[in-house]
Amino acid sequence: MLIIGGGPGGSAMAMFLVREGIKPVILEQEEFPRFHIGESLTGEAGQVLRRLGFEDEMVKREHPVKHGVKVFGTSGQNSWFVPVSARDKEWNLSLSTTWQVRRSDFDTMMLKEAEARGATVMRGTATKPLLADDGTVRGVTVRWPDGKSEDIETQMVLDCSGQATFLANQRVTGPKYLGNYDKQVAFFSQVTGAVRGSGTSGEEAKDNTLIFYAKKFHWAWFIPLDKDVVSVGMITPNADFLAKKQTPEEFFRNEFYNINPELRNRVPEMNLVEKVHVIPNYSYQVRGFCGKGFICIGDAHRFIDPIFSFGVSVTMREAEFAAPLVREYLGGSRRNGENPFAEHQLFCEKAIDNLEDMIDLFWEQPFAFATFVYHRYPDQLTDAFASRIYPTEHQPSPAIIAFRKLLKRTREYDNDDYSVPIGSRFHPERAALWEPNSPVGTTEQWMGAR
Amino acid sequence: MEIPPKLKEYIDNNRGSLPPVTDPDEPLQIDSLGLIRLVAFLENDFGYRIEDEELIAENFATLRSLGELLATKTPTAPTAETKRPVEEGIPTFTVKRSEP
Repeated sequence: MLIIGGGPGGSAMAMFLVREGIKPVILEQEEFPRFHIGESLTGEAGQVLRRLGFEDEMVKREHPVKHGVKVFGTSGQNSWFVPVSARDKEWNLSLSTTWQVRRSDFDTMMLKEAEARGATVMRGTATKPLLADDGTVRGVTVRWPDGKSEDIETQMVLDCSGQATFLANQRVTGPKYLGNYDKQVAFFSQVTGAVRGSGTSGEEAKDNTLIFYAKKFHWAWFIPLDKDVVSVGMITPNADFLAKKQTPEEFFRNEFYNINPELRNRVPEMNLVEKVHVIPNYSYQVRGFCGKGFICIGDAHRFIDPIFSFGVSVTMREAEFAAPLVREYLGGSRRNGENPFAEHQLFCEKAIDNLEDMIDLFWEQPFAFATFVYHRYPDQLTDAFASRIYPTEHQPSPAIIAFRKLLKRTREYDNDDYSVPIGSRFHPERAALWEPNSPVGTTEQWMGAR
Repeated sequence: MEIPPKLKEYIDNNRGSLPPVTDPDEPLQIDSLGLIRLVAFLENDFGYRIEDEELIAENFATLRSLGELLATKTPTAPTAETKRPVEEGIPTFTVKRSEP
């Protein structure tokens, strides 16, 4: 059993597999700790960590405790707040908390613990899939740090490679389509001396996520990482950045405060303690992301828009859902049909469709969205913000159904061509195909190539 | 349609430092979060049902547009279900417990 990628998806996958009696190999190409963006967890991500037994460790490590997400309107005068919530087995709702994580620390903790629980972590890069005659994935070619390559045979490959989308780029999956949010770029760094909430719980809790809305496709985030440091970032259309002809750091310093007046109060000085990183905020969707001998997890098959911090949560949740299916597959079942994981694929796709409808409505009709959050569907939207988005979690909820109605969108799931309308904003009929066999390997290169 | 005095009073009191509205075509200049409170007020205190499709800022831009929107509606008595408290800046969060 081979897991490609040692991020939170790969590590969670490994730990859930160990629970199923399977000891996987994790292949990770980078030396940990390493910087990574995506620092806020949802309520259900907190629950996954609790189920994996990390609560005490998270407290001991003093990860900032997130009580909710506060979104500031354009003027900076008003805000709305969505608390972190939990559901019990009877589906009763209660307030809860989750964590903010500095990914270099968090990802290292997760990977080390996966190893301690029985996974084998190997340093190397998957370069090519090995396929059987019928297309079943039977291993990968790995390039080791010394430059030598070796074929590794395995019963299954779990692609947790994140935005590298290893199996999709290698065309093992179905096509990879561009998503709706492929025209933005994110600039981010970390600051000291930022002004947080003054409370210990609820809306004013000091370590909440703050989102600053400006207008469509322009927004900023504020995510506390420890006692001193806050992750700050902004998203703008790529065209705005290219037009200014500035370095990323110049652009970030010059434009950050223009996003929202409240940012001056929250970040009085730009004391940057991390370099300014740039990632084009591209989004994509991979069809056929599960098949004989493989499952793609999290960003390895779909990335929408990072605004509400679903990335780590979704990848860990998908890992948890996949683990028992992998055990069954290894035990010899699920071997007859075309796609042994078709149900899992549809299950995950429906969930992300719910998220996509929520995010699209946020951008298309912010007033209606805020009215839903604030007044119309507060409970259903705390569910969605907590990433309770799966078909087994009372989804699509009346809120999601209302979003679809306003977006004039239906979701069809009657055949393999489900999840229409991907790319609906910019590509009314069908999203553009990601270029197969693209020589562009990194997001930075991708941005340059555009 | 005539704007009910209670509604006019609500709007005048929720425009920050701006004076009371005199011209029906004058922009109300209530920000989007103020508009959410206005929707909640219309539904909770008057029993109007604002449809999701009507949640666009243009419908709440002036007294005239608001009056035209409300003229299409018949208010019902507010029910306990729709009457939710709306605190300043804080969305309602109802913690539901199943009945014993």
